[in-house]
Amino acid sequence: MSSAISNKHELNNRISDLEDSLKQLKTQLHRLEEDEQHEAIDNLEIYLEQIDHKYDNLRSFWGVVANEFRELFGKSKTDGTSEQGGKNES
Amino acid sequence: MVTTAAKHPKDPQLSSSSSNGLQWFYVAMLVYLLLVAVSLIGGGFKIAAGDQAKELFAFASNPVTALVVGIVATALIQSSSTVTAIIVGLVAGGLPVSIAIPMVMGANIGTTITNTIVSLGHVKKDDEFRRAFAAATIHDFFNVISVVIFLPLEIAFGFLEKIGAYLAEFMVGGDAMSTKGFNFIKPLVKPPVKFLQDNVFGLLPDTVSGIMMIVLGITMILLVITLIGKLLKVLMVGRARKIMHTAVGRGPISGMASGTLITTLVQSSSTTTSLIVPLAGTGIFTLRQVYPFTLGANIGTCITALLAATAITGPNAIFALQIALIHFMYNLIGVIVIYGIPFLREMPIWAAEKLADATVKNKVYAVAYIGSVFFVVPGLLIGLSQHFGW
Repeated sequence: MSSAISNKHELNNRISDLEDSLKQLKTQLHRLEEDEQHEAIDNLEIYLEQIDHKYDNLRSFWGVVANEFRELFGKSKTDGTSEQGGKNES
Repeated sequence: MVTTAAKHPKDPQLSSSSSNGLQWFYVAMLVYLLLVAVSLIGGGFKIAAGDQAKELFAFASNPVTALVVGIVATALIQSSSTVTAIIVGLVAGGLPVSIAIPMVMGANIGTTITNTIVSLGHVKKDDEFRRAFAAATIHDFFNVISVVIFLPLEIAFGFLEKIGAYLAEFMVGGDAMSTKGFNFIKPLVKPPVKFLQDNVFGLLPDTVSGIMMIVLGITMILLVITLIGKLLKVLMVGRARKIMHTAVGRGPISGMASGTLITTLVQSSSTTTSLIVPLAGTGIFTLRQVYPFTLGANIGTCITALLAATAITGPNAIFALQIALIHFMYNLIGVIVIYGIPFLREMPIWAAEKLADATVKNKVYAVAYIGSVFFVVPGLLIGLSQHFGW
């Protein structure tokens, strides 16, 4: 009976220790995240500059979209050809 | 002979403060030109349309059409401040407030195209693009939900028009706090407008001179707001940095307040909401952290229309103030209602995340989204509303 009580007590102690260390880790993580945010805010000019490159952004985006289109149609063309080829073979 | 300047090399701090002083002088001059431009539009519209202003805007008397006009005009100009300042000028010239309300709602949606374009710059890195695109489109979804909720309510009850009328009356005509006595802007703005009206455009027939004044006013607003934005971006970066530092780790209300303050300082919600996109893209700020900041931008951007309304003289001045106050109240109520109700608050986050996930897999979704939200759906809405006579 007394060993069960001491086991329970020990488990409770371990839980509260774990909870404490979890709390500490969370605070540490929060601090790290906030430090990162402060650092980014210190370099605000860099992010502000990006707003002026709207049209470059659009251009590079179009490049990616055009590639995706090409891949998509190229693929479906190839698929279509191979399907036909398969049919012919059979 | 050795000059004094050569003896005492220029103090960099002194020269920087004097150059800042010069830039502030330019800002003050540009604000003055903005007020003159708004007044020109109002005056021009009055001269060109006379008592027919309502008939002239009959095409937009349908609220859906007026909403679409606001969306498309702002998406093309990429500045809600410009569009709302023009709307204030038009109201001063006789555009009915009831038609102007859906237009300012549309301006809110149209302005979000800028930060969406900024987010496209992250397209080459999938994770970065997902975060940036979600941070940009959360603003779109919020504004669309806001219109979906408040436009039908406005059509049914005219609650914004009533609130705006009450506040405008309170500020201009009320005994409690009248701005009549201390409005020093109107006397400053009137002389150049009167000079242009009587001397430059006075020689032309009424309709032509009115149209010329409107065109000049709109061109001036476009130029002035672009220049003010550029100057304030440089001048206010230090202050914006301080505000953002203060808001870090302090929760959503602080985020909203910082978004409002920075937008008021730079007079551009596009700048504020676009600024946060790369910060979210890098993963330094989460979507939930940038969300209140973008909502603050919605409130802060109302300052331009309020400023523009102070330039209006004559019997329509109260309506110009009314629409500026409606713009402010619409944005404030929108934030309180949508962000205040947990279910509604989560909707823009959910929609932005889903769209960003889909767009990362297939970039064509981004093209389809921008094309449909800002151009195709508005076009269809106009067609449908005209066809069914909504």
